[in-house]
This record gives sequence, structure tokens and C-alpha cells, in this order.
Amino acid sequence: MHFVAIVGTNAKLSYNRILLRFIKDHFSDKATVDICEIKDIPMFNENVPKNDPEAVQKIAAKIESSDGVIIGCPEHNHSVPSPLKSVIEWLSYRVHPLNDKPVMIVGASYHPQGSSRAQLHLRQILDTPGVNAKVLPGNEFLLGNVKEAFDDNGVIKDQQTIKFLEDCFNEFLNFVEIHQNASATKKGTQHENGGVRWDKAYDVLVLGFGAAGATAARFAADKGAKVLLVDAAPEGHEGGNTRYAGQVVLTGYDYDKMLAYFKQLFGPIEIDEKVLSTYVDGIVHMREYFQNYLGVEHPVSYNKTHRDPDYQAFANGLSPEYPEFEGADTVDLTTVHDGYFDAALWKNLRKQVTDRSNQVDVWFASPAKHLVQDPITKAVLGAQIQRGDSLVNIRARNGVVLATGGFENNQQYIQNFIGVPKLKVIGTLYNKGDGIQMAQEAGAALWHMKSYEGYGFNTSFTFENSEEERGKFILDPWPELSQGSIFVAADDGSRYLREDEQGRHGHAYEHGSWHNPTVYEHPHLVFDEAQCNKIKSRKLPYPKFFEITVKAENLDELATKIHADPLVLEKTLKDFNEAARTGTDAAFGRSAESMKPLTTTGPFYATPLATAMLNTQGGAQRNERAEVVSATGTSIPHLYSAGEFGGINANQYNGGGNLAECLIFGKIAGENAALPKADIAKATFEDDEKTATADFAIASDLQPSSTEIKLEKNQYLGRSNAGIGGELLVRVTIDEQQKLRDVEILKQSESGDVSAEALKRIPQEMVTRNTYEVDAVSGASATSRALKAAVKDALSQIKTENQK
Amino acid sequence: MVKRLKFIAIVGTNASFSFNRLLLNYMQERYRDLAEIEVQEIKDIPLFNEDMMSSPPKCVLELIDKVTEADGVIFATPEYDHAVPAALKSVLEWLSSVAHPLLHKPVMIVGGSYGVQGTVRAQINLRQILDAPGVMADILPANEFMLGTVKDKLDKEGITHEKTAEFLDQCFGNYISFVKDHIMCQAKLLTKEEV
Repeated sequence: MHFVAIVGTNAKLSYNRILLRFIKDHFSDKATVDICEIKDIPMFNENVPKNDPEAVQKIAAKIESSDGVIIGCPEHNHSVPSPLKSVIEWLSYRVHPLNDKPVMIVGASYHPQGSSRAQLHLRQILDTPGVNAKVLPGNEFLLGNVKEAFDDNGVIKDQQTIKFLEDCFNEFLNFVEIHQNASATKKGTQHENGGVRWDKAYDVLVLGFGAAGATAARFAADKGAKVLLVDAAPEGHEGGNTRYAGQVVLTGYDYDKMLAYFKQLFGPIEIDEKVLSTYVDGIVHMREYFQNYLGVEHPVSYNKTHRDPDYQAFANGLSPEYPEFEGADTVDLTTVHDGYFDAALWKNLRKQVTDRSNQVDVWFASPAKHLVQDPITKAVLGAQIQRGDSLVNIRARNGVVLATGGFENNQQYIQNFIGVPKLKVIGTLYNKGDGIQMAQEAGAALWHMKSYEGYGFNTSFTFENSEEERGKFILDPWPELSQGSIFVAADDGSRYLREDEQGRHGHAYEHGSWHNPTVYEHPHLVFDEAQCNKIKSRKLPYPKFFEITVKAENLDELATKIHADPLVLEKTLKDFNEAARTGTDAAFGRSAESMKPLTTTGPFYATPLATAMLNTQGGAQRNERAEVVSATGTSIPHLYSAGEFGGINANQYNGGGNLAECLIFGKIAGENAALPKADIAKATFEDDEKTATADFAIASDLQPSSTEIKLEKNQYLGRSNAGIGGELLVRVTIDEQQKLRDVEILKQSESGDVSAEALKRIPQEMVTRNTYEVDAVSGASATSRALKAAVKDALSQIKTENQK
Repeated sequence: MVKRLKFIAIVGTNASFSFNRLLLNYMQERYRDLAEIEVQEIKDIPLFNEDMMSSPPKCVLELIDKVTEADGVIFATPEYDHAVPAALKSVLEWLSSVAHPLLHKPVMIVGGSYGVQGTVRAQINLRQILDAPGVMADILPANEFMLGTVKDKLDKEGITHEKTAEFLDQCFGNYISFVKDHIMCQAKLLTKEEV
């Protein structure tokens, strides 16, 4: 424990100072005590501009980082000395370091009362709302007749007095500890000694509800584990990139061929043999996986089922994506039915979880923040999850699975790891690389940080439209953007790639292998009037194309408008026209028939482009058992990973490879995480059975499923997320006069007695008063607000219906 | 001719804007026929320090003289953390250490605050302090003038709320009687001694 002791006077001689010094020495084996003087702290004045005096900031910081405060309080005129009162005024003005801080009051005076009235008054002051300290009750240490109390060494002479001070101090230590436990429960904070107050315990905790997380959760449940599955996205937005993907899973028929194929894909990038062999083995058994675990009796594998290269150009192009490689003839893609980009696989994987809702609890809008690790064994014991406003400590007895996906929405990571200015995400908005920070905290090795896949026209483009958070996923070919009087200009106006490239997941052919093209800050499509008319002649795959396109009467003006160098752009156009005329694009090898000279007189057009980001591959390194590997090469006990977070696919990529990895390593991670562990954590932490009943929602968000609710003719469903426990779902019944007849709460995860009161009282009152506008239940304003919003939502549907 | 009463009215804060200052200015003006009220600022009086008692600051000595000469002292106190501001407490510490000019001095307490409590807790605190042996002021009992929601009732021109103004008149009237009785008592005591 570390305490700050405040000498409550600015006087040179103070018996209170002597008393605090005695406390510091006498209890040095129990706590460190930093004695703070206040003589340099000026008189409180509310007119001090902007910043508090330095001395105030200093003591505030000291108090902030302490476990508690001891105040040695003299008595002046039956009250607290003004220098001390002044300090408390500073500490309840701009900063409030005493808020919720345990405080012990001691005091000494010349008279027998020993500062009792000042102490009483100090208690009142510390109890005011602006200060809000937690003062140790009772234990009034009042050292009267102080002139006689100490010997020459500042030691209290009377043994009984020392004994009483010891009692008081021990009480304070207990008080601080209880207080810290209580606030740890409240805030989900971790103790310094590694002990943790757990809010709820599970066998397995899975972070991330996409394909990998869903798979890990379901297989852990099948091994008998009780699982908590959390996702950062709110309900209806979970699923990570899987819900946006083509739903195709890489499949093979021959192990050796598939292994050879992958070795060529990875090229010089070395992948651990065991990891690769586990992966390839999974891929060649993918159809059985669909049959055995996903309930798909007849999986659709593209080459096997269709044998028709023109059936689906997209799927055909991916099976195989690198036809020139040895073993490519074994590559196929499997789907749960004959359809693509319809979230069919995702729905199947999600159903595997909801079918096991008796074993798997799901929390939406609940991002994982930190892993909780045993400080000695480094075993991962659980994690801190953000649940509403609270951080919740979840114990995972057997394992934690990191399935948090990539960092597609984290521009800082994109710049750091991939080293490009920016990429436009075309998948989920919720992959923010949360797993990377947690993995780093746990000491994990990172791998494949630079690898990412793209998808789009002219190799890997989408449009730069600042109004769109997510870039448009342009899947089908758009020949007018790469055929004719059109080229792509980089930041300065020069060309940098062959526009007619048949990209492979955002990779273009460069000098022998396939790479992500350089990413520039503001590349543009540049074309002339004739090309413009050609583009216009067809239905636009991107309707806002001409909204973002700029027009210029001449090339100089265009260069200015797109922030390019006019001379460079002029030369680019000249060179391109020359290449078109001669049929030879010496620089980039664009095919002769795709090039047509641009007009040199204008007008000209330019459309802003962005490099599309489908998914990153980087994350924590895993081994063949789906264990996360530490920076020193050992596995981190009880920590597993699956899917796109730390994917195996570095370098060149074949479509369906990531989903295959989600299924293969999701299963391994879930099953291994579920295994009971023999290595008991060595650090002290509270017994799992005694987990606290915490003051927040810890029930699963999954029950009941809102899709299975029956509605009569005069009934409407209303939803709100304004409460503290995720979605609140109500069923509202109205009568023929459109009066409120009934408000039933079908789903809620609100917590605490006051919320229960609100959930009971407010619906009754709404029906009685025939309106959702009723008074909030005091102390349960969030729950009240959510109820009102949900009923309002339900009633708004009646109005919409009537308008029709 | 009866000697005109003279009071020192202490602004209980060092803040540059204070409704308590406005309140005292108002009293000074409104009761000019009943007494001379000098509004006393405390912002230049340093934080009390017992190590400075041997050579106290000049402003402290001046204040001691003023209080000694006055027939009474009016305190207008704000409330900080349910108590009197440190700036005012500090003044009281000076006035009960270097010298004791408040000894048996008739004192009236007023206060205004933004909330509805109207400095009630600070006033109780101030009464306790003034009652301490080192101060030993004679405090006007009851007559608790607590001006809550001060923003709505007081502006630069004075108290805008009639009932409140009437109550202050009543309190101040009682204070005048209290002071006069006090002076009479003192005079009688002196006469007795002389006898």
C-alpha cells in the first residue's frame, strides 16, 4: 500500500507533522507513506486562470496515484486550519483527486480534546459532494496534550496510545482493501498483485463473433465447455468480414498437390511445416467438414458441380486463382449451397452457435479490452470486456480464443504495419485490430503484418468518396475503366500500373510474382470526352461515379484540380497516346487492344480512386494446435487464435483461403481451449465459485431470439439500445381505438433493483396513461429511457402502417 | 447627540466576483441612515501562518485596528465544501492570534449562494468558529439571513425580491438593537466599575 500523508498546517513546528513521521516509520513494513507539506500551496482563489498552481497539480497527482490519504489535522478556532481548508478547496475545484479515495484522519493538539472538533469538521468537509472522499469511520485518533506525547526521537511515549494507533491503522488498511475490491468489482480493474475479482466464470471465452469465433465457440461447446462469445459489433452487425465475403471455402482433393500449390503461393515466405500441413489437411477434407459439422449433405464445390468455366466468372476465377502453379488442378471452392455473396455460410455458422445457446452465451457490442494474465506462469486467465459503461472481468478456466479479425479499420495500424498512406475498407467496419493490442500485452509474436488482400476493378480499386465510410465492393468487371482512352494517374499525374490487369485479390503481376501495387494518396482515373460517353452508355456499377468525377476544359486545369503536376500529366498523356498508337506499352505492358489515344484538346475527366482493402492477414502467430506463440517462441498458456487475426496466408493468396482457415483453426482452437487444464495458475486470485454478483448485465444477449416472437394483428415489436444491457425488446398491444393495452418486455439485460423497479412500473404507467411519455424511475434513467424509446419505436410502426 | 454606529462588513471571499460583495454593497446603501458600513475586502490578506505572528503583515494590523474601532462586524460568507472559504477562515485566524479584536464584538452573519441552502452550513460553521475561545465574538442569535438562489434575487442594484429585502431589514433592525444593547451593557459595566 502507498499512502500520501498531508501535514494540515503551514507552520514550521507542528506536532501533527511529528505524528505523521511516527506513522511513516512505525508502519514502514505495512505501507509506504509520502509526507506532503502544504506550505507552498497558495491560498485558494477561484480566479486563478486556466491551470491550477504547480504545487496543487503536484499534490493532486500524488493523491491520484496513492491507495489512500492520511491527514494530520491541527485545530484552529475549533475548526480546520485555513491552509488545510484551502488545499481541500483546490482539490475540489478543477481536479478531484480525493473523489472515492480512502482517507484516515489523525490529529494532535495541546489540549486534552486532541483536535476532536477540527476532525469532526474535516469529516463534514471531506463528505461534501465536490470532495467525496471515503473517510474511515470511527477510529478517531485524537492525540491530546501533545507537548508531552513524544520523546526526543519523535516516538509516542505511551504504549497504549501506540497500540490504539496500530488498531486504527490496521482498520484503515482493511478499509482500503475492501474499498479497492468494491471498486474493482464496479470498474473491473485488476489488482496490483495479480489477484482479480472475477465477475463471471466460463470454461472458454471467445473474442470475436465471425466465422472463426463462431466455429471456436461451437466446437468448444461440443467438448462440453460453457462458453462466452463476445463481439464488438452490435447485434445484427456481428459476423466480421465473413458476412461480406463470397461465402466460398477453399477446398482440395489431393494433399500433396495442395501442399505444392501453397508452397508456390507463399514463395520465399517461410511458414512452419506443421502449421501448413494442418491447414492443407483441413482443406483437402473440407467437403467432409461441411457434411459432418455444418449439416450440409451435398456441399457445392464449383469445379465438381459445374465443370463450366462460364457459370460464375467470380468463382471460376478463384478456383484456382493461380492456374499456372503446380497442383492447381486440385483447387476447388465449396459453398453450403449454389449461391455466392449471400451470407449463406455465415448464417449456417451463426446457427451452429444459436443452436447451442444453452452452452454458449453471446454478448454483442461488448469489445474485449485486455487479457488477464497470471503474472508468474503467463497463463491467460480471462479477459476484460467492455459491457455498457463497465469493464467486466471474465474468467476463462480453460482457455481464451482470439478471433478478433483484422485491422482493416485502423488507419494507424495500416500505416504502421503495411506502410501505406490509406486503404478503403470494403468489408466490416468493426475490425479495428483490437486483438493486436491484447496479443502484444500478452507477449505474443506477430506475423504477416504487411499482408493484405484487396478486390476491385483495375486490380484493386474502389472509389474515393469521403461520404462513404465503407468503400464500394466492385466485383463484376467494368471494362470501360480499363479499355479505351483512359488511364490511372498517381499523385503526380504519372501512370504506375497496367490498368487492364486481371488482379488476383488485389495483387498485380510484377517481375515474376504477384504483389499489392503501390498505394498512392490520391490516384485518379483520367479519361476524355469520348470515353466519358462510353462509360455513360452503360448502367453504372457505381451510381455515384459522375458525382465524384471532376471535369476540366484542358489538361492544365485538370492537373490543378487533382493536385497533380501539370507537366508530368502532360507527358503521361503524350506517352500513353504514343503507346496506344504503336501498340506497345513499354512501361507496364498494357495490351495493345485496350489502349486508345486520348484527345489532346479536352475536355478531360478525372475520378478519384482508392485502393480497396478486403482484409488484413496480420496478427498473433499461431502454431498447429492454434496456440498463440510468444515472442520468445514458446506458446502462451491458455491462449488460442483462429481466422483472419494472424492468418497463415502471407504473400500470394487464393480466394476462400481465409474462410477455410476460420473453419479449420476455429475448430482446433475451440477444442483445445475447451480441454481442462492441469497447470493451475500460481498467482493468488479468488475462487472461481465465488465470482461476484456484479452490478451489470451478465446474461446472454441471445435469448429469446427476436425472430421467433409471435405477433398478433394489433401487436408491434419495439427495440432500443439506450439501456445499459444491450438490446431491450418490447411487444406492444393496442386496441381498436389505438389505445395502449399492454407493454410486455420480451428481452432485457438491465441490472439492479432500481432497473427491476423501472421495468415493472413504467409499462404499467404507460398503459394507464396511454403514452410512452412517462416519468423516469429515479436511479434507473437509462432503463427508463430505453423502455420509452422501445415503446416509441413500436408505436411508430403503427403510424407508418396507417400512412400506407 | 448619539454617536453614529460604525460597522465593518467583511466580504468572505477573495474571488473577483461575489454575490456576497453585492449583498454588502446593498446593505451599505440601504442602511446608510442607520449606520456607516465600510465594506472590507480580504483578498490582499495572506494565508495565515503562525510563523509570521511575530511580524504580522501590515494589512492584518490595519484590519485589526478597524475591527477594534468598529461597533460591530458583519460577515458575508460564501460556502465552499459545506464550510467557510479558506480565505475567510484565514482572516479569522489572524484576528484570533496576533490580537483578538473580535472579543465581545457584536457580529452579524449573512450569506448568499446559488443553491437553495443559502450558505446555511457555512454559517453554522462560522458561528462555531466565532464561538471559539480565541475569537469569542458576540454573535447575533437567530436572524439567519440565508439568501438562496441568489442569482434570481440579487443584482448590482440590490435585492430584487421584496420579501427578502423586508426580512433583511428585520434582521438588520434586530442587529442594531443588539449592538445598542451591547453598548449600553458595556457602558453600565464600565459605570459600575467606576463606582
